Amino acid sequence: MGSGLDIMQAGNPPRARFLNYPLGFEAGQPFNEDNQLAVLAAAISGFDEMTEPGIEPVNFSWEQGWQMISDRDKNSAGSDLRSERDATPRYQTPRDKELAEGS
Amino acid sequence: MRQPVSYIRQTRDLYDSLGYQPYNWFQADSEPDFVKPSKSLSDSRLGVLSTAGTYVAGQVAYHYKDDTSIRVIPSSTSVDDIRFSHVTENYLVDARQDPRCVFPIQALQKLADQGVIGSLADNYFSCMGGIYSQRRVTAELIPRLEAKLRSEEIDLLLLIPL
Repeated sequence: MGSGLDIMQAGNPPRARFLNYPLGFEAGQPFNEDNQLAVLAAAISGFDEMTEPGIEPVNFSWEQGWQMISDRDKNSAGSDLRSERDATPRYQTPRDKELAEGS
Repeated sequence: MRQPVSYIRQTRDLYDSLGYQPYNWFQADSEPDFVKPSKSLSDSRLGVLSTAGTYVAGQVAYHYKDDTSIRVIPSSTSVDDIRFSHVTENYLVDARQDPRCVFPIQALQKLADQGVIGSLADNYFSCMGGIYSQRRVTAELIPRLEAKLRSEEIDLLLLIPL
C-alpha cells in the first residue's frame, strides 16, 4: 500500500493498492482511527481480490489533507529540508538518543 | 479522482534547481513475480515491512548516509514507542505525532482481532527508504531483510513505503 503512484509504478510490484493521500499518510489520516482502519482494510483486501499483477486505487479522498500540506509548504522557510548525509543516527527526540546510547 | 502527484519529476526538478546530484530512482526492468496466495487473508500470517525509517524508542535511529541496516519492530509494540528517522523528514511531521498514519500497528491488530487477518507476525521490520546506492540495496539490505522475513514464517507481506 502506498501513496506515491509514480514511485510504485517504477517498482512494478506484484500487487498494490494506491491511496491518493499526500505522502506521509500512507496508512490514513492522523488521529482518525476509523479512517486508518478503513484504509488498511481496503489495502489488504487486495491479497484476496487481486488475481493479476497491478496497482489499483482505493476509493478515499482527503482534500483537507492536501490543503494542509499546501499551506504548510507555503509557510515553510524553504522547500528543501535535507539534512546532512552523514552516518550520525538521527533520533526523533533527544530522549531517544539517551535511551539508545546512554546519556 | 484527484490527479496523482508526480513525485519523481518533482524530486528531479528540486535537486536540479539546488545543484544536488540527481536521485537515481529505481526502475524495474522485469515483470513482477506474481504469486496467487495459497490461503485467504483470514487464514494467513501477515508480516509488515515499512521503509519509513521506523524504529522503537530505545533502538539506535537510522542515519542518512545510505543506511542499509534494519530494525525489528515487535508487533506488540505500543504506538507511543514508534519513532521515525528518514531522509525525507518533511513527510513525517504528522507521523511523529500519530505514527499510525504511516505505520498501522493498531489497525493491523484490530483487523486480526476481527478475524480479517488470520494472524500477525511476532515481528515487523523496517528499513531506510532513501538510499542512494542501488548496489548496496541489492547486496546488503535485501538479503538481510529476506533472512529476517523468512524467520517469521509469514504467508503474506505488506510493504508500506514512505
